Amino acid sequence: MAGMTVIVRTIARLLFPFTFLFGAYIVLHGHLTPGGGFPGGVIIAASVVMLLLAYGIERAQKRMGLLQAEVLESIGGVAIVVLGLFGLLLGAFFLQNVFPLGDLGQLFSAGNLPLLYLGVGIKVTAGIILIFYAMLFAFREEKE
Amino acid sequence: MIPHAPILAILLPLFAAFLMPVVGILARRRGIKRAREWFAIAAVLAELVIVASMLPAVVGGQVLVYQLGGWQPPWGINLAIDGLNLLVALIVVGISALVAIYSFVYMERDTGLDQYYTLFLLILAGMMGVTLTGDIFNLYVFFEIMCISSYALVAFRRNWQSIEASIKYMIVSSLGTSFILLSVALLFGQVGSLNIGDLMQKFGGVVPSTLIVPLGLFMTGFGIKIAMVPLHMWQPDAYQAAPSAVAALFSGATTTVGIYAMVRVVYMLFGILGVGMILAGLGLVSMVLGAFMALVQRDLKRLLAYSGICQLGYILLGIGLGTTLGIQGGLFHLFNNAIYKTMLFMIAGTIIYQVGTSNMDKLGGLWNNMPVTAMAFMIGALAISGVPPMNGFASKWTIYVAGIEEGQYVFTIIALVVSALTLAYFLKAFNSIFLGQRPKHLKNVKETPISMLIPILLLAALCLVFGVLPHLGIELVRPAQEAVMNSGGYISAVLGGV
Repeated sequence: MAGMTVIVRTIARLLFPFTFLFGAYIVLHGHLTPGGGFPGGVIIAASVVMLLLAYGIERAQKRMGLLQAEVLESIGGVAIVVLGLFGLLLGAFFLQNVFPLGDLGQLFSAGNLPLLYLGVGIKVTAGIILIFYAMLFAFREEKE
Repeated sequence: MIPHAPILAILLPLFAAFLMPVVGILARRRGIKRAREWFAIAAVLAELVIVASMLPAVVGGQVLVYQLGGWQPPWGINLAIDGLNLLVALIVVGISALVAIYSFVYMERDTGLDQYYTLFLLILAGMMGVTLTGDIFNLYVFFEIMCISSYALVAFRRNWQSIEASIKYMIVSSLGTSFILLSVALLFGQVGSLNIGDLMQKFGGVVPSTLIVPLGLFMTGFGIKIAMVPLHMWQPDAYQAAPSAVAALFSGATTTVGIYAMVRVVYMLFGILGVGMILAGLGLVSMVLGAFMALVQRDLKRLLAYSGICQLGYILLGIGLGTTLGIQGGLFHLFNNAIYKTMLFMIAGTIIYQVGTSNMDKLGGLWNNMPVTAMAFMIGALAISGVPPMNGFASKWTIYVAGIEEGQYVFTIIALVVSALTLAYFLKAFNSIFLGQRPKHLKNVKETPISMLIPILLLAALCLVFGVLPHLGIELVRPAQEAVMNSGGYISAVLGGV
């Protein structure tokens, strides 16, 4: 994919940090506001896909390569299971909360929920980018 | 029992599946050979230990109930393990372990083994989830995990044939799983519970006619997964196109899980509607059609797929009869079927590995080249046809006797005739692969590599052991049969004092 005109590129470049930040906000405030790991992860992935469409595949791959995405996806999945196992080992049940609860409405509160949302967010971001790459590469293989 | 064994049995393969891509990348960076294979085998063997550790308590008549998050059963999700669950879990883990060992050499020529082992462990996690859970919605979720991994595994080789088979399987099977979801929703609307034990208890107070639609939907959904006639059209294509290790896993483990879901949900939950005779009837149709379709096949893997449909009929017939002997026979046959069907698919795989084709017209005279494999195939063929002294005879005989005791002579006669047909098409297969004229280009075919032969010979030995000592098998399935017939014990164990 070669990329698009200068107008699209400039707007994509300007929008990228804000979209990314908004996605990160949704993920980190998953336990306080509507949204959470999945929608936030999709927004972050969308920001990367937007860059990919505007600048072409090479530039986007520099920011988030296939290998990075694959590793991140595994890390996200493993993080969720490890958090669950914490509950099993330190508490009594799988996914039981073992962290301090904090005050209602604070960013650092609700025990292991923010961490779980973080895990889900990482996994969803990486997963959606991987799906996008997989579709791109599938077509590229056919052309060659 | 290992503490928290029920939840660990689901978590371990899930955890290992997420770690597998990292293991693959690290192994490639450091140049470690076969890291993925060893990691997968270690994970499955650890899983085997976890499941086996639950054996003493369950055989002692206990129903293990594990409450997730500490919530009481009718409201929270729980894992409930009685004899039936444990029998299925043991079959699944045992077959998976053997398939993992078999894949070690069989899959070495393929690329993308990261994905293969990730999907392998993911399907194992899904199967364990379906087997161990006591919550019907949870069962649906794990069922979906299992199905989605299997679509990808069918398409693993990425050639035209396997992608076509995978898409066909995906369309048919997602229709089935959406039926299951719809049915769960309908049940929740009518009964107001998702816990299987609670549902069983509350079914007494529901007007039976309102349960007919959920029953039909469940039966169709699970019927698609186990390829019951007339919902079997995806199976021969999928088994032929999938790598043989995957086909062995599907026929041994996934089908067993599907039958478990059928027994647990359709037979035990809707037992008051008299589904036994429906299951027995569908079993008879599957038996006859599977046998006739297998007779005309020219490809070994397609033949095995149709014979799988045929054997499924026996299991449904035995369970559908509903007597102690019938259920014992059906469950024993479920166990035996997993053993020899996995073995036969593995042998088909070794033939493809060594010769490159499973088309029986292009094979012949391989007896001299691979005598051990040929012997194992013979044992498997005799066992599946129900010839004494193989294990298939013991379980089929139990089903015949159960049919006569129930006064259903016609069922027994049909089952006997189909057994003879099974022998006919397996002798045809044996004759055209291992006997007869050997084409010139097959002169240098070698015996199966030893690490692929080990799981095959282990399964062949099991065929003989359970054939010569059938009471061992009957003792093995007795806790499961008692669990099927004693749903009151399950209800009181799950719900406790509530």
